[in-house]
Amino acid sequence: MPEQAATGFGGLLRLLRAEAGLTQEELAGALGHFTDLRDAVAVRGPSRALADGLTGRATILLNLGRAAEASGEAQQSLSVAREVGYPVGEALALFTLSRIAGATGNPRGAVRLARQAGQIPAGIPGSMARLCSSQLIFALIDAGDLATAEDVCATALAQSREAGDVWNLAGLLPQMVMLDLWEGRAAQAAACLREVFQLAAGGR
Amino acid sequence: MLSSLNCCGHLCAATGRPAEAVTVWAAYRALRPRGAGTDWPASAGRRDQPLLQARRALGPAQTLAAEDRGEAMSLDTAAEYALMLIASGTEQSWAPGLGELSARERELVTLVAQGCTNAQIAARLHTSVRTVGSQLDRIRDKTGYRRRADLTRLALTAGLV
Repeated sequence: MPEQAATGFGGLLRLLRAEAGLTQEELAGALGHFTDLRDAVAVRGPSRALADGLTGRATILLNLGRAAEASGEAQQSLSVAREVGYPVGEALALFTLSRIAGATGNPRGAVRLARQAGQIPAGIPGSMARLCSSQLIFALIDAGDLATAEDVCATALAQSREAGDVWNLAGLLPQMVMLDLWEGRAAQAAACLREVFQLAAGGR
Repeated sequence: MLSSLNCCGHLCAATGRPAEAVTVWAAYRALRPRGAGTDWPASAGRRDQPLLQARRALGPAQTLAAEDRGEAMSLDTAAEYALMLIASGTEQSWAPGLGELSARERELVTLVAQGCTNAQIAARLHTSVRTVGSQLDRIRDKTGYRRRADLTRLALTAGLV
């Protein structure tokens, strides 16, 4: 079995796809899963699985409103990922730290961390880079830099369309809808929004 | 999908449709899992001002009616409603064909729009699934709308849901 499937990386991706729709109970269950993973692999020392477990916990803790604990887990995940040479884990940890910074009222920190996540050079799949772009757009919007957010969004949208990356497309299009609306482009916003619903209908 | 409903609320607010904005946002709030963490764009804060303006424009009674309507929507119904709102003004408007429907048939259309399956409708109306199926066929013949999504739009356009 490939290591990614065996370590909880797949579970982490599923979590990131589903988190917005999870109830408190489901989040608590997912926290237990990633805690078990972390505890099971921690005894063997730093590993990719440990980084994934820590980032999973950080993501859920953030959703549960426990940002300080989330930050500690994500920082630890970043250290582990760097120690074992795990670029995807490093990008995900930075991505998570950016989200935590945004959620705790530090938009500039969120922008810096999201940029760092997107700049991890080697071993990052395109879909992961686009996920980092999506976080960068959130952070730029929160920081008030709508022009740069729009540039990043347009690029990531084009890349997602070219790659057939429906998951990131579904996340990026609502961002472009809002950017269009804030610039007074209602017709373009409507067109983007229609595309989102068509994507959602295709996925059901 | 849920973030798209939120965006649709913003679109309606930005294009001078306060009742629709309040309705869609009410559906969005009702459909989000309780205690769910992610809400964007940054998000409640950015929604507060246009929502407040929409409520002011409507007044208390119409706001309440719009919120009740939105809160009663299933995810599918809300999605169809949002698609209608997005399309309005850019596509041919719908011609509701409710006039020829009996009270019972309107009730069926309403239940379809609320996301009920034929079996659920049968249980609600104390009849058989087969009867529901034939009644829906008759409704389709009368209205010309074949898909459940079309019937949902019909109900939304006519204000049945």
